[in-house]
Amino acid sequence: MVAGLLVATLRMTTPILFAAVGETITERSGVLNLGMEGIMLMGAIAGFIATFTTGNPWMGVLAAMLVGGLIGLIHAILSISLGVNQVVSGVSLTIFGMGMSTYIYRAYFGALPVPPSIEPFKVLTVPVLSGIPFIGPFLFQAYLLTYISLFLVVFFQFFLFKTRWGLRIRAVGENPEASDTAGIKVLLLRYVCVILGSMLAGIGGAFLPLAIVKFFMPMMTAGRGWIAVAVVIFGRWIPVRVLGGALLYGFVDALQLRLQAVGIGIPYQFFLMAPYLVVVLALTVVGRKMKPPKGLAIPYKRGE
Amino acid sequence: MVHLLKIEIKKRETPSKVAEFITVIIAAVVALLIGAVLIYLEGADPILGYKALLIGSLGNRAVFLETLVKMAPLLLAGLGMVVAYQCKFWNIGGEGQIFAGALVTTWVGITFTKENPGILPLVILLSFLGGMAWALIPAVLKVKLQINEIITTLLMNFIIIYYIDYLVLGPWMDPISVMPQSVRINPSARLMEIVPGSRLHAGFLIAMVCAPLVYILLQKTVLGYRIMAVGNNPEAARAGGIDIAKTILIAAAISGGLAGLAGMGEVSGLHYRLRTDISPGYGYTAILVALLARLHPFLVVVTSFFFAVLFKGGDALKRVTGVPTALIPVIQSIVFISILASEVITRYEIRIKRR
Repeated sequence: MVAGLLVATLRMTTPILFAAVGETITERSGVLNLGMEGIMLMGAIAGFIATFTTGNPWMGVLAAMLVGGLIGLIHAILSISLGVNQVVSGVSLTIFGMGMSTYIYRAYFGALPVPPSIEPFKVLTVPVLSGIPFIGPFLFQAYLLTYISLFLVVFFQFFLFKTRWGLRIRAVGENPEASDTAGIKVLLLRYVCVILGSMLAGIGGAFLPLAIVKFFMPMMTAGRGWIAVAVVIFGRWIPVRVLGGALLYGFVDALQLRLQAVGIGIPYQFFLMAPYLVVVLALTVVGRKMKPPKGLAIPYKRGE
Repeated sequence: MVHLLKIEIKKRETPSKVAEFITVIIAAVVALLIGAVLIYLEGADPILGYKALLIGSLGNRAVFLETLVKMAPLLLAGLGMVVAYQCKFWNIGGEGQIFAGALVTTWVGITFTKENPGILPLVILLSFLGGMAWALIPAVLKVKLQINEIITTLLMNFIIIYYIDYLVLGPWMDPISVMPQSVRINPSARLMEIVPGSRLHAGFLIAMVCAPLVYILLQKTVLGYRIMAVGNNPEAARAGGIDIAKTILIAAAISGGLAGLAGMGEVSGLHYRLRTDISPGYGYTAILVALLARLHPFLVVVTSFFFAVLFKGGDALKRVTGVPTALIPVIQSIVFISILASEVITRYEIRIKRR
């Protein structure tokens, strides 16, 4: 029971984690991307259709990255080059993704009596090690993508705080004017971060149909893109702390699924609500301690 | 080649009105062309599709009235978003606030079983308060703990929709129905129809009255001045002695209240019962409605009508060409995004010079 819960926690954490790591890099460079929910949905449908047609879920991941990156590019053009309000741009891209993913699904598959399904990713089980009680299944029985998401946390923790390029990204997010003076290509770096972040969010979205369930449902992300943005704030823009937030969400989500299955007399809708309530509560705990990058959500124009 | 051309981008002092108008038209055309491509890819004739869309929403009296039925919630919720956004309170929880209003309306409508003319005013008042309460939670979290309202208003949507799902499948479920829906509300809680034989109800009139009211609120009252001052420049507003927290709370409350009225109209005027599908995303579309109107209450009347035409026409589009109605929110958002981009472009002069 406990081991199963821990395994499920990691599984539910993965989509959030991809998107949250992506949003962390994006926001560190000074751009707010509220299109995450829409990007995840588009990643989910792109990943699902690519897997459905090729039979290879890795093609799905590739498609999700491409589509995610494409929407990221639109957000980058709007918010970085055109200086559109980033809240407005992001929210409208989310609304676009919500509609577009549903439309593509309905247009591509029509009305089928049974929802089409795909052969999903297989769980990797490391022999011997996964037999260790409790910790074994938690660490050594998961999807490759889950390991990749955990690796990304470690990688970007190191990258952001220990490398020159990481320093540059943070500098661009904190003080674009000074960075520009120092010869850093502010706009280019922001473009790269937004697109990379969106590609990761695309993978996060695709993880839902490719691993957690094996079909696509309209609006299947159910707010996970927003939760990823919340988790970044909770994690104070530090990848390892962001992991903490994502794990908290993953745990509550896994727990509520378990409790629903057990059925303890409480209507299931209250369990479904739990993750959203916990995220709101978690934000209230962090509260005033937040310190976002100083240049966040402010378009940069040279000489203005 | 690249080195021979020099592209100069200069900011205009004042955006040219003519250029602005032309680019908005071009943006809308581009968006409709993208829609046409999507219709074409679905194996249907785009011209036939758009014709069906227009005839199906404006072609005769009956469909036109149905378009107005869809316009009512968009107008009310859109006005609500205008009030919040003028204050830079980024309320994107209109959907949840619509459902909060609908929930309260249904609660009154099934709690009081005797007919009484006093029930309708009570319903209207309480639905406003319901939407208000749902918007105030994130607003309090923002002013007290500085928690980003964009995320909390959005997450609140999920909480209330799951709660309503519980109600319409549980304690409020209509026992003689297999659908997840509540029992019918008391006839005294209903809004009357304003055009006999149609579904157009008094909620539309309420919405049309709210547009000038919101205009007066924002432009002619001290409160409106404060709301816009906080939105434009919070530091200056604070220096000017405006209580920022209080102003944000009031703006959020009015915003949620107007969305609550939209939910009331859907229950009291249209369905006479609560369901989880009373809104096909009106709360999200209302965001675009408000922003496209540049937060001007009277322009919200225009943009909500335009989006209602698309919503209503979407049914005919599907019927005639088989294109899924999910295309409509896609076209709506593409129209919005292209106009968003074009508006910025009009603020710049682009000159291409030969070196």
